[in-house]
Amino acid sequence: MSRSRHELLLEWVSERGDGSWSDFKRAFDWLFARRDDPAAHAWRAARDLAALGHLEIAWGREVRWTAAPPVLTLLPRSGGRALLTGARTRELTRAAEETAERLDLYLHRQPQRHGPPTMMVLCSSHEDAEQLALELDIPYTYSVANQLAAMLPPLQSWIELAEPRPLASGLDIERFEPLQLCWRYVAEPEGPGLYRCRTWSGHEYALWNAVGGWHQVVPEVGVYETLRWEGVNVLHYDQSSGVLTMPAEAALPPLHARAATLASGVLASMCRRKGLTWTNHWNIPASVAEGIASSLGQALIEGEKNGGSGLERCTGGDRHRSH
Amino acid sequence: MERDLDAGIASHNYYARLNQLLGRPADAGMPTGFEAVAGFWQDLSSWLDEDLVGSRGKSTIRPHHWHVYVGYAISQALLRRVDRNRLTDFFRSAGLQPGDEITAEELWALLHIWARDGSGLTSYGLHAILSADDRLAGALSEVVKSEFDAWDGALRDAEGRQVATVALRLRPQAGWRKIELSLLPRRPEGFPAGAFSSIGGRTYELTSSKEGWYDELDVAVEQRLLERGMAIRRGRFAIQFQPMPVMPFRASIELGGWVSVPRLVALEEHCLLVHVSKMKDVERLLARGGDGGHQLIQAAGLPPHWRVIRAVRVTEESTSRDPGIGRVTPRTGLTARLEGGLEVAPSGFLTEGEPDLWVSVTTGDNIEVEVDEIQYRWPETVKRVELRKLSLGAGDHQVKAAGRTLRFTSYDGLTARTEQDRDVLGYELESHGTYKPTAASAVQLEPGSCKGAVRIVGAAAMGSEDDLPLPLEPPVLLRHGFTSYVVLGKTPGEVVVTEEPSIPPWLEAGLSDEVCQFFDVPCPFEAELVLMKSADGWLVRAIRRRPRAATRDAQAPRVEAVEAWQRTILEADERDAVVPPELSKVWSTYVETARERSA
Repeated sequence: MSRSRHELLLEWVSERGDGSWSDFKRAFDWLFARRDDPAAHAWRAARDLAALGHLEIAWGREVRWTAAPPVLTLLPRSGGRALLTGARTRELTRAAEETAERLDLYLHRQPQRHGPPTMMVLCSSHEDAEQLALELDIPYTYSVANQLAAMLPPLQSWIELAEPRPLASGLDIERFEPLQLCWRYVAEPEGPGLYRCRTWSGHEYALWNAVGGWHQVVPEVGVYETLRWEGVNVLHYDQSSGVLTMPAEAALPPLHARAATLASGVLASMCRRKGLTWTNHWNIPASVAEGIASSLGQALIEGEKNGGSGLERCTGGDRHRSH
Repeated sequence: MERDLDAGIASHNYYARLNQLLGRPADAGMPTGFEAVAGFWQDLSSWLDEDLVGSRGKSTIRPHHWHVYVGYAISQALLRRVDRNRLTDFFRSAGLQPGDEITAEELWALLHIWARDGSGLTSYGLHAILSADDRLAGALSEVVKSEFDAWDGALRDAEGRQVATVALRLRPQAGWRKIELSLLPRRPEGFPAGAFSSIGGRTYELTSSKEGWYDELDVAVEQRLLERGMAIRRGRFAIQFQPMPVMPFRASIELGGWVSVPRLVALEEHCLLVHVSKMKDVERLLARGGDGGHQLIQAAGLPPHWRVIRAVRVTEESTSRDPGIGRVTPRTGLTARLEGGLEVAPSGFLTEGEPDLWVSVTTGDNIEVEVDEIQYRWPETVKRVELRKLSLGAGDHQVKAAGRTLRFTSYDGLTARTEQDRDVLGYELESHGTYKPTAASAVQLEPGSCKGAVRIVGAAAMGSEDDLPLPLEPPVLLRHGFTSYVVLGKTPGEVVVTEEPSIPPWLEAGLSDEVCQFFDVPCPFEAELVLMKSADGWLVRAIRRRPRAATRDAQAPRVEAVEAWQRTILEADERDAVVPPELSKVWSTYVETARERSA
């Protein structure tokens, strides 16, 4: 059986168990030639694997990762699908295949373009999923998405943990424009806001708050904090379809993204509409959407995304979107 | 001793020269007692390396496998000192680092490629290398090897001055719309600070505030400098900037910019400073071996006729014999080596994640590789062999290429895993009504649990029941194909009435090809049975594997719910609902309870 490169990457992460960022990047760079996919980046793959619950990554000065423990979770509104997430060693995959067959359950691999195939088991009862987890000796839970969403801390508590440290000096800085959802080069800080500069090891993000203090933040948290300052709501939710949508420039923070992604086990998809790139998370129960929004200080905008949330479009030559 | 081409005396014909010096006939052979000379050489070598601990330079004296007595002397005379000094340049050009593991044969193969007009070797040295027969090549390769083993990473010029190179630093500004170039001389150990002077007499005051580097040179990087280079000296030290029409740069956090490197490294991101005369050649080379992501930059601040290409990453083998753009070809390093792969243990890889084999051979040869005793041959001089595509399977593997034997193991997964020694990263949230993170991102979690806190690792949430959110009841899965459904719990009032929903859009949107046989219904109680209604009548089915009998106590305060529970059961009973035999006993308890309550 020939595996996709994303699947090989997940298997390697699972077998290795832990490692440094350079280990991960080396494996990624070897697997993915950018000729095949210009958008392929190691950090993006790591972020997606974390959102799918396969690995944990500590984005400190010394970046490290570990494979997450395997978990079987029954997905809501899925017609009885149980998702196998966490570390997927080859031994576990073989055991899952054999056990599912013995229990007369259908194990289904759903390919994903930018991630490893989703491994789901079709059950006729939640007891089927419990039994399978028991035999595989892994934890079982119902709707991890709901569980995580119920634990999401408020935005302010993340901000309080931000390290008081200014941006590296002497480098070009950009400011995040919450009304336009884009980054703009500035000669020097222009008052409170989220700023970033590109160092040789990556971007650094820092909030300049109202009293002139600098705090280095997780970028997604910084973005939502500035959106909160300006009273801009960007989360669209359509309860009938279960789609939660937000502009790509306002991607969810890692734990929020995991809650949203594990509602379906499928990575968020992207689409272009009205000059903005939108991120769609699927199969989101109302309780999860509300938990995410409330944690980020956002009010959900009901209905399909339409780009008409009052955002101004970036037009200036020195303004750009990148994430 | 040097060989005499005119007299027809080979360099290894030692005794002819020695006998002339001793006044003996040239063909008299080895003088009596000469055996002791080998011991003198060994003493000298041991004095240099052991007694003086290399303080006066490491010994390059080596025994020779064939010339047991004269091999020592020959090893010191096959190449003149002036040519030996140039070998440091060769080591650098070949991308070697002090301490690299490389055999004399591999070094010789690389030297053969490098030794060309313009390499800085004397005509004598060039001739010695290019025309050496097998026996002489063996002796020369040992000399080169001993020079390499003694090399401290420094270069030497032809006069024997220790040479430090100057790196060019490239700093992009305003999103690569402007480029700033500067010169940063390296400062190897022992190099002095102070005044250095150029041949033209200009003096440069060199200071150093970072170990291994001098501070930025006060020189404008202009077209003339990029095309002609510069050299400054102080006593037995020299500092040189040697320009090339194509210069690769790699990002350096330490030096705050992109810093020029001797050669591009495969798979690493680089940017290139390219003279316009070489642009087409470079673009051709990148089209062949690059990953397609490179970008030509229109930037201010560059000298005329120079361009910058950023996001250069070479992933495929590509070669150029043009010395001007040779730096863009990936450093294949040694003649055969394994690179990349999904390593899960020392020299152990996942199957389908076996490393690539990089092989280079001298011009004119073909690449011959033997993998697990199967022969492969390619008419190329540099080749990346993707071993993962050879379907090697799990087990030990042996690769023979370019005179080397490389071994590794493929695993179809590791069976023995040790979790105990492994770090666990995750989120820790304090539980005080709401949850509060203890760190801004995932952190290393200490073993053991912590009261009043929960941990999230991947999809697993861990903590005491008091600290975790209340668990949800699992949904009830119902089979599609009926018009309405009534889910029953064992207690009167535990009832959910629903109709068949449409297939959820996310499953319909091509995310799954499987037919949806079931749909799920949230249920706030433990469901026991379901009544399913269709045009043909009612069916009773179990939700739990072993449904429990009905209880007579109605706990639900909602009178309507209790009534709905009773009414549905009685209606199904009156309409002769189809009950499987294994459920008839349990079902009867529901009917009896419903009748009693309605009475």
